[in-house]
Amino acid sequence: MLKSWKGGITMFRYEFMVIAFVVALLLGLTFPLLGGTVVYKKLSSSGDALAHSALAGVAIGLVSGLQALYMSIVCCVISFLLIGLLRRKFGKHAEIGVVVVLSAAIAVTGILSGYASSGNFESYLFGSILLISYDELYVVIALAAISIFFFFFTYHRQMACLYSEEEAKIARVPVRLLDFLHSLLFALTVAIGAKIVGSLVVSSMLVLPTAAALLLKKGYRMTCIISVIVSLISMSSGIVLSYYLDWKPGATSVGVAVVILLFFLLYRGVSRALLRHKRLNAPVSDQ
Amino acid sequence: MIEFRDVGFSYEDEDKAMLRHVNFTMKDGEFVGILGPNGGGKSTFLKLTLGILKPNEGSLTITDSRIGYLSQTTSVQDHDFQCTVYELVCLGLVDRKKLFLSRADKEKVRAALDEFELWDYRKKLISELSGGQLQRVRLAKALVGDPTLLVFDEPDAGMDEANHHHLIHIIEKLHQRGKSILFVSHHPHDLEHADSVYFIEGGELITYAEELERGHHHVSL
Repeated sequence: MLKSWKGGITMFRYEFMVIAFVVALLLGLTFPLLGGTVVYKKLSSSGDALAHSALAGVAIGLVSGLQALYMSIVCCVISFLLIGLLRRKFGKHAEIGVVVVLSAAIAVTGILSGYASSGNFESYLFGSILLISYDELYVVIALAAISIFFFFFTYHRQMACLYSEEEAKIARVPVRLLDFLHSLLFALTVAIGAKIVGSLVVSSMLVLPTAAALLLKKGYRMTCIISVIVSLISMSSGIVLSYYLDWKPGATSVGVAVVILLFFLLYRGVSRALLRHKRLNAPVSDQ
Repeated sequence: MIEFRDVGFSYEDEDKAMLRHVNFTMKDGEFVGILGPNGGGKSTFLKLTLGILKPNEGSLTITDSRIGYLSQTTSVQDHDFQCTVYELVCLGLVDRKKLFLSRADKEKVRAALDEFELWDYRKKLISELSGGQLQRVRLAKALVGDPTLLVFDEPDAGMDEANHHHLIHIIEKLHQRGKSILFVSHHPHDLEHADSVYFIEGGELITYAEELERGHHHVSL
Protein backbone atom coordinates (compact mmCIF):
# COMPACT_ATOMS: atom_id res chain seq x y z
CA MET A 1 0.00 0.00 0.00
CA LEU A 2 1.38 3.41 -1.02
CA LYS A 3 1.40 5.87 1.86
CA SER A 4 0.63 9.58 1.32
CA TRP A 5 3.54 11.87 0.42
CA LYS A 6 1.50 14.92 1.60
CA GLY A 7 2.38 16.71 4.81
CA GLY A 8 6.14 16.48 4.45
CA ILE A 9 8.20 13.46 5.50
CA THR A 10 5.66 11.70 7.65
CA MET A 11 7.93 8.76 8.41
CA PHE A 12 9.97 10.84 10.87
CA ARG A 13 6.90 11.29 13.09
CA TYR A 14 7.55 7.77 14.34
CA GLU A 15 10.43 7.21 16.73
CA PHE A 16 11.18 3.74 15.35
CA MET A 17 11.59 5.24 11.86
CA VAL A 18 14.00 7.88 13.15
CA ILE A 19 16.06 5.17 14.90
CA ALA A 20 15.96 2.97 11.78
CA PHE A 21 17.13 5.90 9.62
CA VAL A 22 20.00 6.75 11.99
CA VAL A 23 21.07 3.09 12.15
CA ALA A 24 20.89 2.82 8.35
CA LEU A 25 23.19 5.86 8.02
CA LEU A 26 25.65 4.52 10.62
CA LEU A 27 25.79 1.09 8.96
CA GLY A 28 25.93 2.79 5.56
CA LEU A 29 29.09 4.52 6.74
CA THR A 30 30.60 1.41 8.37
CA PHE A 31 30.02 -1.11 5.55
CA PRO A 32 32.24 0.47 2.84
CA LEU A 33 34.95 1.57 5.29
CA LEU A 34 35.53 -2.07 6.25
CA GLY A 35 34.24 -3.80 3.12
CA GLY A 36 36.46 -1.83 0.75
CA THR A 37 39.61 -3.52 2.05
CA VAL A 38 38.06 -6.95 1.47
CA VAL A 39 37.15 -6.02 -2.11
CA TYR A 40 40.69 -4.77 -2.76
CA LYS A 41 42.07 -8.04 -1.33
CA LYS A 42 39.78 -9.98 -3.70
CA LEU A 43 38.17 -11.72 -0.74
CA SER A 44 34.64 -10.43 -1.30
CA SER A 45 33.24 -13.92 -0.71
CA SER A 46 34.56 -13.87 2.88
CA GLY A 47 31.66 -11.49 3.66
CA ASP A 48 29.32 -14.18 2.37
CA ALA A 49 31.00 -16.86 4.48
CA LEU A 50 30.77 -14.68 7.60
CA ALA A 51 27.15 -13.76 6.87
CA HIS A 52 26.28 -17.47 6.73
CA SER A 53 28.27 -18.01 9.93
CA ALA A 54 26.14 -15.28 11.52
CA LEU A 55 23.10 -17.23 10.46
CA ALA A 56 24.60 -20.41 11.95
CA GLY A 57 25.12 -18.45 15.18
CA VAL A 58 21.47 -17.37 15.13
CA ALA A 59 20.38 -20.98 14.61
CA ILE A 60 22.53 -22.10 17.56
CA GLY A 61 21.11 -19.25 19.66
CA LEU A 62 17.49 -20.02 18.79
CA VAL A 63 17.87 -23.74 19.44
CA SER A 64 19.89 -23.41 22.66
CA GLY A 65 17.93 -20.48 24.04
CA LEU A 66 20.99 -18.24 24.20
CA GLN A 67 20.92 -14.63 22.92
CA ALA A 68 20.98 -14.97 19.10
CA LEU A 69 22.91 -11.73 18.44
CA TYR A 70 25.75 -12.70 20.79
CA MET A 71 25.90 -16.23 19.37
CA SER A 72 26.10 -14.80 15.87
CA ILE A 73 29.00 -12.51 16.96
CA VAL A 74 30.81 -15.52 18.50
CA CYS A 75 30.27 -17.59 15.32
CA CYS A 76 31.51 -14.77 13.07
CA VAL A 77 34.67 -14.26 15.13
CA ILE A 78 35.41 -18.03 15.15
CA SER A 79 34.79 -18.16 11.39
CA PHE A 80 37.09 -15.21 10.75
CA LEU A 81 39.86 -16.91 12.75
CA LEU A 82 39.28 -20.13 10.78
CA ILE A 83 39.34 -18.28 7.43
CA GLY A 84 42.65 -16.64 8.42
CA LEU A 85 44.12 -20.03 9.42
CA LEU A 86 42.93 -21.77 6.25
CA ARG A 87 44.05 -18.85 4.03
CA ARG A 88 47.60 -19.28 5.32
CA LYS A 89 47.37 -23.09 4.92
CA PHE A 90 46.14 -22.91 1.32
CA GLY A 91 48.56 -20.14 0.29
CA LYS A 92 47.83 -19.17 -3.31
CA HIS A 93 44.40 -20.83 -3.18
CA ALA A 94 43.28 -18.72 -0.23
CA GLU A 95 39.68 -18.61 -1.42
CA ILE A 96 39.34 -22.32 -0.60
CA GLY A 97 39.46 -21.37 3.09
CA VAL A 98 36.48 -19.08 2.54
CA VAL A 99 34.53 -21.82 0.76
CA VAL A 100 35.24 -24.34 3.55
CA VAL A 101 33.87 -21.96 6.21
CA LEU A 102 30.89 -21.02 4.01
CA SER A 103 30.02 -24.70 3.48
CA ALA A 104 30.34 -25.53 7.19
CA ALA A 105 28.13 -22.56 8.09
CA ILE A 106 25.46 -23.62 5.57
CA ALA A 107 25.53 -27.17 6.97
CA VAL A 108 25.13 -26.02 10.60
CA THR A 109 22.40 -23.52 9.67
CA GLY A 110 20.51 -26.06 7.53
CA ILE A 111 20.53 -28.76 10.20
CA LEU A 112 19.63 -26.50 13.15
CA SER A 113 17.00 -24.44 11.28
CA GLY A 114 14.67 -27.44 11.44
CA TYR A 115 14.58 -27.06 15.24
CA ALA A 116 14.12 -23.25 15.31
CA SER A 117 10.87 -21.31 14.85
CA SER A 118 10.65 -20.12 11.25
CA GLY A 119 9.36 -16.61 12.13
CA ASN A 120 12.40 -15.81 14.26
CA PHE A 121 14.72 -17.29 11.72
CA GLU A 122 13.30 -15.28 8.81
CA SER A 123 13.84 -12.02 10.66
CA TYR A 124 17.57 -12.79 10.51
CA LEU A 125 17.48 -13.53 6.79
CA PHE A 126 16.15 -10.08 5.89
CA GLY A 127 16.86 -8.22 9.14
CA SER A 128 14.61 -6.17 11.35
CA ILE A 129 15.85 -2.61 11.09
CA LEU A 130 12.40 -1.24 11.95
CA LEU A 131 12.34 -3.14 15.25
CA ILE A 132 15.62 -2.00 16.76
CA SER A 133 15.97 -1.74 20.52
CA TYR A 134 17.96 1.03 22.23
CA ASP A 135 20.61 -1.55 23.19
CA GLU A 136 21.08 -2.45 19.53
CA LEU A 137 21.23 1.24 18.62
CA TYR A 138 24.08 1.75 21.11
CA VAL A 139 25.90 -1.31 19.72
CA VAL A 140 25.67 0.15 16.19
CA ILE A 141 26.85 3.60 17.39
CA ALA A 142 29.87 1.96 19.09
CA LEU A 143 30.64 -0.16 16.01
CA ALA A 144 30.45 2.86 13.68
CA ALA A 145 32.65 4.98 15.97
CA ILE A 146 35.32 2.25 16.24
CA SER A 147 35.23 1.59 12.47
CA ILE A 148 35.61 5.29 11.58
CA PHE A 149 38.45 5.66 14.09
CA PHE A 150 40.16 2.53 12.74
CA PHE A 151 39.75 3.63 9.11
CA PHE A 152 41.18 7.13 9.56
CA PHE A 153 44.04 6.17 11.85
CA THR A 154 45.19 3.32 9.62
CA TYR A 155 44.29 4.83 6.23
CA HIS A 156 47.78 5.11 4.74
CA ARG A 157 49.10 1.97 6.38
CA GLN A 158 46.14 -0.10 5.20
CA MET A 159 46.62 1.28 1.70
CA ALA A 160 50.33 0.37 1.86
CA CYS A 161 49.39 -3.22 2.84
CA LEU A 162 46.85 -3.45 0.02
CA TYR A 163 49.38 -2.26 -2.54
CA SER A 164 52.15 -4.60 -1.40
CA GLU A 165 52.39 -6.43 1.92
CA GLU A 166 56.10 -6.95 1.32
CA GLU A 167 56.83 -3.24 0.80
CA ALA A 168 54.65 -2.41 3.81
CA LYS A 169 56.73 -4.79 5.94
CA ILE A 170 59.92 -3.08 4.72
CA ALA A 171 58.42 0.25 5.89
CA ARG A 172 57.89 -1.47 9.31
CA VAL A 173 54.10 -1.33 9.02
CA PRO A 174 52.60 -3.95 11.42
CA VAL A 175 50.93 -5.87 8.57
CA ARG A 176 49.73 -8.90 10.59
CA LEU A 177 48.30 -6.77 13.41
CA LEU A 178 46.42 -4.52 10.98
CA ASP A 179 45.02 -7.55 9.15
CA PHE A 180 43.92 -9.11 12.44
CA LEU A 181 42.22 -5.94 13.71
CA HIS A 182 40.49 -5.31 10.39
CA SER A 183 39.24 -8.89 10.12
CA LEU A 184 37.95 -8.80 13.69
CA LEU A 185 36.05 -5.55 13.06
CA PHE A 186 34.78 -6.98 9.77
CA ALA A 187 33.47 -10.09 11.55
CA LEU A 188 31.71 -7.96 14.19
CA THR A 189 30.17 -5.79 11.47
CA VAL A 190 28.82 -8.82 9.62
CA ALA A 191 27.34 -10.28 12.84
CA ILE A 192 25.68 -7.02 13.89
CA GLY A 193 24.70 -6.13 10.32
CA ALA A 194 23.10 -9.56 9.84
CA LYS A 195 20.77 -8.95 12.79
CA ILE A 196 19.77 -5.51 11.56
CA VAL A 197 19.67 -5.64 7.77
CA GLY A 198 19.68 -9.42 7.37
CA SER A 199 22.40 -11.95 6.70
CA LEU A 200 21.42 -12.18 3.03
CA VAL A 201 21.82 -8.43 2.68
CA VAL A 202 24.90 -7.63 4.76
CA SER A 203 27.48 -9.35 2.55
CA SER A 204 26.08 -7.53 -0.50
CA MET A 205 26.20 -4.15 1.20
CA LEU A 206 29.82 -4.75 2.26
CA VAL A 207 30.88 -5.29 -1.35
CA LEU A 208 28.52 -3.43 -3.72
CA PRO A 209 29.40 0.21 -2.83
CA THR A 210 33.14 -0.35 -3.37
CA ALA A 211 32.50 -2.46 -6.48
CA ALA A 212 30.41 0.42 -7.89
CA ALA A 213 33.01 3.06 -6.95
CA LEU A 214 35.83 1.04 -8.55
CA LEU A 215 34.00 1.27 -11.89
CA LEU A 216 34.62 5.03 -11.99
CA LYS A 217 38.43 4.53 -11.80
CA LYS A 218 39.19 7.58 -9.67
CA GLY A 219 42.02 6.35 -7.44
CA TYR A 220 42.06 4.97 -3.89
CA ARG A 221 40.86 8.04 -1.92
CA MET A 222 38.04 8.91 -4.30
CA THR A 223 36.98 5.24 -4.43
CA CYS A 224 36.63 5.31 -0.62
CA ILE A 225 34.62 8.57 -0.74
CA ILE A 226 32.34 7.45 -3.59
CA SER A 227 31.72 4.05 -1.97
CA VAL A 228 30.61 5.77 1.27
CA ILE A 229 28.25 8.06 -0.70
CA VAL A 230 26.80 5.08 -2.62
CA SER A 231 26.36 3.14 0.60
CA LEU A 232 24.69 6.05 2.43
CA ILE A 233 22.30 6.65 -0.48
CA SER A 234 21.45 2.93 -0.72
CA MET A 235 20.90 2.40 3.00
CA SER A 236 18.87 5.58 3.57
CA SER A 237 16.73 5.14 0.45
CA GLY A 238 16.13 1.55 1.55
CA ILE A 239 14.44 2.89 4.69
CA VAL A 240 12.50 5.64 2.91
CA LEU A 241 11.26 3.41 0.08
CA SER A 242 10.36 0.62 2.48
CA TYR A 243 8.19 3.06 4.45
CA TYR A 244 6.32 4.42 1.46
CA LEU A 245 6.15 1.24 -0.64
CA ASP A 246 6.02 -1.41 2.11
CA TRP A 247 9.11 -3.15 0.79
CA LYS A 248 11.69 -4.96 2.92
CA PRO A 249 14.31 -2.30 3.90
CA GLY A 250 17.45 -4.45 3.58
CA ALA A 251 16.49 -5.91 0.23
CA THR A 252 15.52 -2.43 -1.03
CA SER A 253 18.95 -1.07 -0.02
CA VAL A 254 20.67 -3.82 -1.99
CA GLY A 255 18.37 -3.14 -4.95
CA VAL A 256 19.30 0.57 -4.91
CA ALA A 257 23.01 -0.28 -4.67
CA VAL A 258 22.70 -2.62 -7.68
CA VAL A 259 20.89 0.09 -9.67
CA ILE A 260 23.67 2.60 -8.85
CA LEU A 261 26.31 0.04 -9.88
CA LEU A 262 24.51 -0.57 -13.20
CA PHE A 263 24.22 3.19 -13.72
CA PHE A 264 28.01 3.58 -13.17
CA LEU A 265 28.61 0.70 -15.58
CA LEU A 266 26.44 2.42 -18.19
CA TYR A 267 28.18 5.76 -17.53
CA ARG A 268 31.59 4.12 -18.03
CA GLY A 269 30.48 2.42 -21.24
CA VAL A 270 29.01 5.63 -22.67
CA SER A 271 32.01 7.79 -21.68
CA ARG A 272 34.38 5.25 -23.27
CA ALA A 273 32.33 5.17 -26.46
CA LEU A 274 32.28 8.98 -26.59
CA LEU A 275 36.04 9.13 -26.10
CA ARG A 276 36.58 6.60 -28.90
CA HIS A 277 34.24 8.58 -31.15
CA LYS A 278 36.10 11.81 -30.35
CA ARG A 279 39.46 10.21 -31.16
CA LEU A 280 38.21 8.79 -34.45
CA ASN A 281 36.78 12.13 -35.51
CA ALA A 282 39.73 14.23 -34.37
CA PRO A 283 41.23 16.23 -37.32
CA VAL A 284 44.35 14.53 -38.67
CA SER A 285 47.43 16.74 -38.50
CA ASP A 286 49.24 17.37 -41.81
CA GLN A 287 52.60 16.72 -40.20
CA MET B 1 75.79 -0.01 7.61
CA ILE B 2 74.85 -3.65 7.08
CA GLU B 3 76.73 -6.48 8.75
CA PHE B 4 76.03 -10.21 8.36
CA ARG B 5 78.04 -12.39 10.74
CA ASP B 6 77.94 -16.07 9.96
CA VAL B 7 74.28 -15.80 9.00
CA GLY B 8 72.32 -18.91 8.09
CA PHE B 9 68.72 -19.17 7.05
CA SER B 10 66.29 -21.93 6.09
CA TYR B 11 62.53 -21.82 5.64
CA GLU B 12 60.37 -23.67 8.19
CA ASP B 13 58.98 -26.25 5.77
CA GLU B 14 62.24 -26.89 3.91
CA ASP B 15 65.22 -28.95 5.04
CA LYS B 16 67.69 -27.26 2.69
CA ALA B 17 69.40 -24.09 3.97
CA MET B 18 68.78 -21.10 1.70
CA LEU B 19 71.82 -19.26 3.06
CA ARG B 20 74.89 -20.72 4.81
CA HIS B 21 77.58 -18.95 6.87
CA VAL B 22 77.16 -15.60 5.14
CA ASN B 23 79.66 -12.94 6.18
CA PHE B 24 79.11 -9.57 4.57
CA THR B 25 79.75 -5.94 5.45
CA MET B 26 78.47 -2.90 3.62
CA LYS B 27 79.65 0.53 4.81
CA ASP B 28 77.65 3.75 4.63
CA GLY B 29 77.74 5.32 1.18
CA GLU B 30 78.97 2.14 -0.47
CA PHE B 31 77.61 0.76 -3.78
CA VAL B 32 77.42 -3.03 -3.60
CA GLY B 33 76.28 -5.25 -6.45
CA ILE B 34 74.87 -8.76 -6.08
CA LEU B 35 74.80 -11.29 -8.89
CA GLY B 36 73.70 -14.90 -9.04
CA PRO B 37 71.33 -17.37 -10.62
CA ASN B 38 67.63 -17.65 -9.73
CA GLY B 39 67.03 -19.82 -6.66
CA GLY B 40 70.60 -19.29 -5.46
CA GLY B 41 69.59 -17.33 -2.34
CA LYS B 42 69.56 -13.71 -3.62
CA SER B 43 65.93 -13.09 -2.64
CA THR B 44 66.45 -14.58 0.81
CA PHE B 45 69.56 -12.41 1.25
CA LEU B 46 67.54 -9.31 0.30
CA LYS B 47 64.59 -10.23 2.55
CA LEU B 48 67.01 -10.56 5.49
CA THR B 49 68.55 -7.19 4.65
CA LEU B 50 65.12 -5.58 4.39
CA GLY B 51 63.99 -7.04 7.72
CA ILE B 52 61.21 -9.17 6.21
CA LEU B 53 62.94 -12.35 7.44
CA LYS B 54 65.01 -12.97 10.58
CA PRO B 55 68.14 -15.16 10.45
CA ASN B 56 68.08 -18.63 12.05
CA GLU B 57 71.80 -18.51 12.76
CA GLY B 58 74.43 -15.82 13.25
CA SER B 59 73.79 -12.11 13.73
CA LEU B 60 72.61 -9.37 11.45
CA THR B 61 73.04 -5.64 12.11
CA ILE B 62 71.45 -2.91 10.01
CA THR B 63 71.94 0.68 11.18
CA ASP B 64 69.93 2.33 8.39
CA SER B 65 66.49 3.28 9.65
CA ARG B 66 65.23 4.64 6.34
CA ILE B 67 65.30 2.09 3.52
CA GLY B 68 64.07 2.73 -0.01
CA TYR B 69 63.15 -0.35 -2.03
CA LEU B 70 62.57 -0.81 -5.74
CA SER B 71 61.67 -4.16 -7.29
CA GLN B 72 60.59 -5.29 -10.75
CA THR B 73 57.67 -3.56 -12.44
CA THR B 74 55.97 -6.74 -13.50
CA SER B 75 54.18 -7.33 -10.20
CA VAL B 76 50.42 -7.87 -10.27
CA GLN B 77 49.59 -5.06 -7.86
CA ASP B 78 50.65 -2.37 -10.33
CA HIS B 79 48.07 -3.55 -12.85
CA ASP B 80 45.32 -4.33 -10.34
CA PHE B 81 45.58 -1.79 -7.55
CA GLN B 82 43.48 1.27 -8.23
CA CYS B 83 45.43 4.28 -7.00
CA THR B 84 46.81 7.45 -8.55
CA VAL B 85 50.45 8.32 -9.12
CA TYR B 86 50.26 10.89 -6.28
CA GLU B 87 48.77 8.37 -3.86
CA LEU B 88 51.43 5.77 -4.62
CA VAL B 89 54.30 8.20 -4.05
CA CYS B 90 52.66 9.18 -0.71
CA LEU B 91 53.05 5.54 0.37
CA GLY B 92 56.81 6.06 0.37
CA LEU B 93 56.34 8.16 3.54
CA VAL B 94 54.29 5.58 5.43
CA ASP B 95 55.94 3.95 8.42
CA ARG B 96 55.08 2.33 11.73
CA LYS B 97 54.48 5.56 13.65
CA LYS B 98 53.05 8.01 11.14
CA LEU B 99 49.26 8.36 11.25
CA PHE B 100 48.73 11.22 8.81
CA LEU B 101 50.85 12.99 6.21
CA SER B 102 51.85 16.53 7.26
CA ARG B 103 52.10 19.58 5.02
CA ALA B 104 55.89 19.07 4.93
CA ASP B 105 55.31 15.47 3.76
CA LYS B 106 53.08 16.69 0.94
CA GLU B 107 55.84 19.11 -0.10
CA LYS B 108 58.25 16.15 -0.23
CA VAL B 109 55.83 14.25 -2.46
CA ARG B 110 55.54 17.25 -4.77
CA ALA B 111 59.35 17.58 -4.92
CA ALA B 112 59.74 13.87 -5.74
CA LEU B 113 57.11 14.09 -8.48
CA ASP B 114 58.81 17.20 -9.91
CA GLU B 115 62.24 15.54 -9.84
CA PHE B 116 61.00 12.67 -12.00
CA GLU B 117 58.81 14.90 -14.20
CA LEU B 118 55.67 13.21 -12.94
CA TRP B 119 53.65 16.17 -11.60
CA ASP B 120 51.46 16.29 -14.72
CA TYR B 121 50.70 12.58 -14.28
CA ARG B 122 49.78 12.84 -10.59
CA LYS B 123 46.06 12.19 -11.11
CA LYS B 124 46.56 9.26 -13.48
CA LEU B 125 45.96 5.72 -12.29
CA ILE B 126 49.16 3.66 -12.02
CA SER B 127 47.54 0.94 -14.14
CA GLU B 128 47.35 3.43 -17.05
CA LEU B 129 51.12 4.06 -17.14
CA SER B 130 53.74 2.51 -19.40
CA GLY B 131 56.42 0.29 -17.84
CA GLY B 132 59.04 3.06 -17.90
CA GLN B 133 56.69 5.67 -16.40
CA LEU B 134 55.60 3.26 -13.70
CA GLN B 135 59.18 2.52 -12.71
CA ARG B 136 59.83 6.29 -12.43
CA VAL B 137 56.81 6.54 -10.09
CA ARG B 138 58.08 3.63 -8.01
CA LEU B 139 61.52 5.20 -7.87
CA ALA B 140 59.94 8.47 -6.67
CA LYS B 141 58.12 6.42 -4.00
CA ALA B 142 61.38 4.75 -2.94
CA LEU B 143 63.19 8.11 -2.67
CA VAL B 144 60.50 10.39 -1.22
CA GLY B 145 61.35 9.44 2.38
CA ASP B 146 65.02 10.43 1.83
CA PRO B 147 66.35 6.93 2.61
CA THR B 148 69.97 6.37 3.58
CA LEU B 149 69.99 2.86 2.07
CA LEU B 150 68.51 2.02 -1.33
CA VAL B 151 67.84 -1.59 -2.26
CA PHE B 152 67.22 -2.40 -5.91
CA ASP B 153 65.95 -5.87 -6.77
CA GLU B 154 66.41 -6.31 -10.53
CA PRO B 155 64.56 -3.05 -11.15
CA ASP B 156 65.45 -3.07 -14.86
CA ALA B 157 63.81 -6.44 -15.62
CA GLY B 158 61.52 -6.12 -18.63
CA MET B 159 62.58 -2.54 -19.38
CA ASP B 160 63.49 -1.25 -22.82
CA GLU B 161 67.06 -0.11 -23.55
CA ALA B 162 66.45 3.65 -23.14
CA ASN B 163 64.64 3.33 -19.78
CA HIS B 164 67.24 0.84 -18.58
CA HIS B 165 70.11 3.27 -19.26
CA HIS B 166 68.18 6.11 -17.65
CA LEU B 167 67.61 4.04 -14.50
CA ILE B 168 71.28 3.01 -14.23
CA HIS B 169 72.27 6.67 -14.67
CA ILE B 170 69.91 7.69 -11.82
CA ILE B 171 71.29 4.97 -9.53
CA GLU B 172 74.85 6.15 -10.17
CA LYS B 173 73.82 9.75 -9.40
CA LEU B 174 72.23 8.60 -6.14
CA HIS B 175 75.48 6.90 -5.20
CA GLN B 176 77.40 10.11 -5.93
CA ARG B 177 74.98 11.92 -3.57
CA GLY B 178 76.18 9.62 -0.79
CA LYS B 179 73.38 7.06 -0.67
CA SER B 180 74.24 3.44 0.16
CA ILE B 181 73.19 1.27 -2.78
CA LEU B 182 72.55 -2.47 -2.73
CA PHE B 183 71.81 -3.52 -6.30
CA VAL B 184 70.75 -7.05 -7.26
CA SER B 185 71.06 -7.56 -10.99
CA HIS B 186 71.26 -10.17 -13.71
CA HIS B 187 73.64 -8.02 -15.75
CA PRO B 188 77.25 -7.55 -14.59
CA HIS B 189 77.43 -4.46 -16.88
CA ASP B 190 74.95 -2.65 -14.61
CA LEU B 191 77.42 -2.92 -11.75
CA GLU B 192 80.50 -1.42 -13.36
CA HIS B 193 80.41 1.57 -10.96
CA ALA B 194 79.90 -0.61 -7.88
CA ASP B 195 82.52 -0.48 -5.11
CA SER B 196 82.27 -4.24 -4.70
CA VAL B 197 80.34 -7.06 -6.34
CA TYR B 198 79.29 -10.35 -4.74
CA PHE B 199 77.92 -13.58 -6.12
CA ILE B 200 75.30 -15.77 -4.41
CA GLU B 201 74.84 -19.37 -5.49
CA GLY B 202 73.69 -22.43 -3.56
CA GLY B 203 73.23 -20.31 -0.43
CA GLU B 204 76.85 -19.19 -0.43
CA LEU B 205 78.05 -15.60 -0.76
CA ILE B 206 81.45 -15.04 -2.36
CA THR B 207 83.09 -12.08 -4.06
CA TYR B 208 82.62 -11.86 -7.81
CA ALA B 209 86.40 -12.12 -8.28
CA GLU B 210 86.35 -15.48 -6.45
CA GLU B 211 83.50 -16.61 -8.65
CA LEU B 212 85.51 -15.76 -11.77
CA GLU B 213 88.55 -17.57 -10.32
CA ARG B 214 86.40 -20.67 -9.95
CA GLY B 215 86.35 -20.66 -13.72
CA HIS B 216 82.69 -19.90 -14.31
CA HIS B 217 82.16 -18.12 -17.61
CA HIS B 218 80.48 -14.87 -16.55
CA VAL B 219 80.99 -11.58 -18.32
CA SER B 220 83.72 -9.61 -16.57
CA LEU B 221 82.89 -6.14 -15.26
